[in-house]
Formats: sequence, C-alpha cells, structure tokens
Amino acid sequence: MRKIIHVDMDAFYASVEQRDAPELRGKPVVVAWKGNRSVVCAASYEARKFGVRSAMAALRAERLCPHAVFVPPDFPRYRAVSRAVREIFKRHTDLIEPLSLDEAYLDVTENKEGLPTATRVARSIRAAIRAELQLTASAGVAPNKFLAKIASDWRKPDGLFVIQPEEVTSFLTPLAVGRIPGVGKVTEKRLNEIGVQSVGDLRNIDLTVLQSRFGRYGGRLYELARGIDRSAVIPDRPTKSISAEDTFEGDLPLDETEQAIRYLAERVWAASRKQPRVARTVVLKLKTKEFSIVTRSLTPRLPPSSCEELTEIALSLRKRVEAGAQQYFRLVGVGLSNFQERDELSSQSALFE
Amino acid sequence: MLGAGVEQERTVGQGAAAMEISVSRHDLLGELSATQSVVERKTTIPILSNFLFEAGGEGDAAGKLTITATDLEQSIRTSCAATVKKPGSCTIPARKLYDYIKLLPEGMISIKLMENHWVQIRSGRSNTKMVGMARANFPQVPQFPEGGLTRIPTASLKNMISKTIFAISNEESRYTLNGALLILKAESMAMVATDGHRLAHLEKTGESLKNISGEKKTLIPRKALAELESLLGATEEETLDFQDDEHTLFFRLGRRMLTSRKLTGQFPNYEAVLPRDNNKLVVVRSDELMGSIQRVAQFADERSGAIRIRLEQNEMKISSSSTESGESEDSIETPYNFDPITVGFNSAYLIDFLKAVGSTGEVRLEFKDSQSAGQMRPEDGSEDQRYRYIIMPMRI
Repeated sequence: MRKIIHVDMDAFYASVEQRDAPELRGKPVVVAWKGNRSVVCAASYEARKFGVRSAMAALRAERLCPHAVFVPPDFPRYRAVSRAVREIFKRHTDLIEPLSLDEAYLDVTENKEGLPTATRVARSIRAAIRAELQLTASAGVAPNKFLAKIASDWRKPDGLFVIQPEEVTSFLTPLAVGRIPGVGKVTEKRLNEIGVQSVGDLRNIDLTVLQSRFGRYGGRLYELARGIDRSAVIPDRPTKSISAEDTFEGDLPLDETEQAIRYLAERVWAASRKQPRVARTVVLKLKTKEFSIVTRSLTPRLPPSSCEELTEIALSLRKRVEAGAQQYFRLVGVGLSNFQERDELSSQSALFE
Repeated sequence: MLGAGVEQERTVGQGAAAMEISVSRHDLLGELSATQSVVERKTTIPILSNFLFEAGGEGDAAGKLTITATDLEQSIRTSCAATVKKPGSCTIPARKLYDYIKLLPEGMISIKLMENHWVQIRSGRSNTKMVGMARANFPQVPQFPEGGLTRIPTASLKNMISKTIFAISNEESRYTLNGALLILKAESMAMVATDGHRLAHLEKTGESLKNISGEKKTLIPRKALAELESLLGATEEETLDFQDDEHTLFFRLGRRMLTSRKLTGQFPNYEAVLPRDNNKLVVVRSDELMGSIQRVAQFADERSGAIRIRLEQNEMKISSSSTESGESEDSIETPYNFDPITVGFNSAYLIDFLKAVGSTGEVRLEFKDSQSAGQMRPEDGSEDQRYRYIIMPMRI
C-alpha cells in the first residue's frame, strides 16, 4: 500500500502578497493583471467571501468586490516561494511531482525522517510551511494520488484530511461525481443523464456502458469509482507540453470561442510560468461537434513572452481554421509545447507581462 | 476601326451610367500615384484591383473626376479637375491604367465608358480600350462623417509617424500591436508604437486642437499610417481633418480622403512600462554610436542580433560574439561616472532608433540595470517635443 500526500497551498499568490505586504492582511486581495479582459490569477479568502474566484474575469471580480485590492502577479517571487516549499518537501522525500507552483504530490511510502505514518509527515510539512514561510497549506493523505487530491480539498483552507485504506469505499460512495478530478461540467451532465449523481451510483454502472459512452475515459471512471488509481508520483517529469481545454455546455460556432480561448490562454500561461524552460510553440485545438479534432500551431521567431502574446497568437490561429458558419465545435484547447532551455535562446525580454 | 456614328450608338445602351470626360495627363497621374498603393494586389475579389471613376453631375461634383480605390480594409478617394461631357461612372484595372498613363505623353486624355464595361482611353494618336467591370460591383466606401472633426497639423503628424512607425509589430498574430496609438489632447498630441519588446513614444506640446475634450486615443493600423505618411509627404496642406465613427477612421487632406477600418483590441498599458528611475546616464554622438553598433553587429548571433553595451569610467564599450563569426568590440570615449553596467540589446532595435533620430546631434542613453528597460532620447534640447524610445534588454 502506497502513502501519498497532496499538498495544496492556500490561495497561494494572494497569500504571498498578504504575507509580504502587511497592509493587505485581512483585506480582500485579488491577484490579476490590469486590463479589460484579464482574469483573476488568485483571490484571498477575504475576497472569496464575495464570490471572487480564480479564473474569473477581473472586471467581474471588481464588480463583486469593489473594495478589493488588485495586485498584479509577480511570478518570479511566487516561483521563489514555491522553491522554498519544495525544499521542505525534500526533507521527507525525493518523490515529488509538482503540478504547478502551488501544489504537488509526494510519495512518502518511504520517508527520509522515518516517520511512522504519512499523517505525521503531512503534519510536519504543514507546520514547517507555517513556521518558516508564514503561509498555510492544505494536505490530503491517501493510498493514491486521486484520493489524496480529493482529500486535500476536503478541509481547505489550512486543513488536513486523511483517507485510510479501509475508509476509501465509505468515503467515496456519497461523493458527487463532479468531485472526481477530470469530471467537468459536461461529463457530469452526461453522467446525470444516465442516473449517476454520486460515486456510489457510478460504481453500479457496468464497465461496457461507461466505455461505450465515454471511450477510454470510461475505463478510468470505472476504476476511480472503486478508489483505484495506479498512477505513480513521477519526480521532475520533463514537461513536453502544457495545455488546458474546455468542453462547452452547448456547441459553439468558431466566432464565439474567443472568450474561452482567452480564459484558457490565461490558465496555460500561468501554468507555464512555473517551468524552468520556455515553450516555443503555441497550439490551438478544436473538436467539432462530430468529434473530429482540428489543431493549428505556430512557432514564432521568439517564444511568446507574455500572456497577452500567447492569447493573441492563439486567437490568430483560430483564423487559420476553415469552418463555415454551420460548423459547430464542442471543445477548444490552448497549449504550449516544444520546450527549450532558456539558455538556448538568448532571450529578449518583454515590455508587457 | 469603328466610325464615330457607330460608337455613339454603342454607348447609348449604358443609359445613365454613360461617362465621357477629358482630363489632363498631369492631373490624372498625380492622383493615380497617390491612390494606387491602396489597391489590392493579390486579391481574390477582382473588383478590388480596379479604380472607381466617377465623373461630374451637379454642384460640388461638377467638373470633377473622383477616383476611389479600396482593399476593404482601407479606402482612398481623391479627385482632379476634368471636363465632363457626360456624367457617369466606370471601373478600370488600376495597375494597368497607372502603367499606361505613365507611358502617355503630356496632354489631354479622354476617357469614355463603352459597352460591356469596356473603357476607352484616348490621347493624341493613342487609342486603347480597357476591360473594366460593372460599377455596381464596386464596394461601398465610407463617407466622411459630418461635423465634429479635429484638425491636426500635418508637419507634427508626419514627424510623429516617422519616429514611431518602425516600432510597430510585424507579427500579424499580435494584432493589437499592429498599429500605433494616437493620443490627442486639447494642447498636445502623442503617438506610441510597440512590438512588445521596444516602444517608441513622441509627445508634441504647444498644439491647439479643436473638438478634443480630455483625451482621445485612437489605434491606427500600420498600413493606414504608411499611407498617411506618403500622403503627408506629398501635400502642402497645413492641417489634416481627422474623424472617426464606430468602425472607421477618416483622414482628409485637401481633396484626398483616406479611410481605414479600426483595429479591434486594446493597446497595452504603455504608461506602466515607461522607465522612471533610470539614473545611469550617458550621452554620445548619434553617428558615432550608429557606426559602432553597425560594425559590432556584424559579429552578433545572426538570429538574435544581440550586442552588449558596457558603461564604465568615461567609456562605453559595445561588443558582440558568436560561435560562427567571431567577436568584435568598439569603444566610445564619453563622460560616465556612475556604477559600471552591462546590458544586452537587439542591435536592430538600436539601429532603428538611431535611423529615426538622424545622424546629426547626440543621443542620451538611460539605464537602471541589466534586466530593466533602457531608454534612449535625442539630446536636441527641443522643449515642445519629447521623443523617447524604450527598449527591453536581452539576456546574453
């Protein structure tokens, strides 16, 4: 039996800002670039009370919480803090798989300090993050990655939740299927259509039914419903590409995909910032309502150096998709690939970030 | 050869669309030169390769030939004096007509619409019939809106364009940077252009602009700026009429009018990136710096064009190196008493600016550190004009 911890920093960017600027403490803080189309990178818990969420349009956040303090993101600083968090993880294990600047999986089946339980390791990590970095993290402890991730969200913020091996089934049964990582609003709706609301309901569906409805992901759902996740914690996985995609609630024509592309580009950009390497190629992916996939990519002379640049390239790639007004799409994705070492490019820095 | 009587009969079928004019070659060629750059070259819509000719009528239009060209993004409309025998309109292949008129000797040219949209061009002993297209297919071109226009001094505008246009992005994907921002205030105006790596900004004070309250910001596409620059270069008018509506920009210079579709999107917040604490300063002669950079750039990495500028005690060193071609260094003696600093830049960006300021006079370079934007300015002492060029460093 493996022991996995998922550590998720609480409102990470906003918390770093509040830590470093005492006048922001206790106030609603929204980390976002200026601009009409910008989206929120992070919101402090004070701001979340007003309904402000990550990835929401900054203008909407401003309307929801007009007295919030808006701070532009400072990724070099967040990266530095993220490295310090990682140093704390390293005291316990080298099997660390970062998902982004603010979350990581740790395999502590064997841990360097020889602590008897993963729960003790998680407590020790949370205490060190609090004492040394003056930040809070939530942690989930479970026999696999899938469950650890759900667990870390369970007592957020500043919480610890443990799913013991023998509790897996009773924990999962009442859980809404939407809580399963990878089940977005569209998959959830399609599951609801076949009478599946909870993970318990999902467990009653035959593998063949799930596979016929959801393809390969159906097989994965079948296993997750039973708490099975064999994926390993892979340290320093070299990133080949970063992408984000979104299935629309209703199929859309090409010219109504701009908002989704902007939002996905923001997400991909934020995720790419944690990379030590630079992506040279921008990819736009579309799936037609008939399920055929269209991709367009561009490798500019210099790698995209700002979110705005990435967004503009992704939007311009859309112009290279030939689609009649009758063609509807069910999904759009934005990706970055072709990562290179920064040193291989004598890089030109950007004015606007 | 057709007899005159027969020709008469052939044109009758055109009814109201019949057109017959005579115009001086000199006047016509002048207007064709000014308009032909807007004509679409590689178009899939054939009518856009044509000029629209409209002759005479009543009032204002009488005794006048109006010429229009458009590529749907932009349009240009101009006119010249003509003897209108029959008012009407036609379209003529633009490039062919321009090349043909250039080859005709000075004198009067007669232009006459015939059957099937053919157009007859006669001058002296030359007689040509060109294959035109139906006037009805020529797209509608926006009309200059009534009232509310702003008059912009042509000399200032021309100067602003020539000192910023080169910094506009060439990457089509960055469409909000494919233009320059014109900022009009009641007593000043400014233009800003950037490609995301460098930015040119020129502000001219001591103006007096009508119909501007507060601040009016307009993003002008590069093609329109280039067109304006050439129109401004060929004019004696002192002011240009400027106006816009929801979708279109309008520029009128005497009898010539340019329209351009507006760029959508938001120009970046350039004010936020203007350096404020660049306190390591050096002043050098423009031609000397240009010479050094051009020499050293020969040995820069070909793809990036990166060169290094090092400032130390009373000396500026410019250097480059690349694995393929070798290395090079130039040194300029100049007063400098701040901490030494080394910054890498794209040599092409530096050269663009030095070309824009010209080879006479001095330029001032202002740095903060090797990661922050550098600023360059002409040391020309002019008080009503503030020209600055901001350039991001390269990591080398």
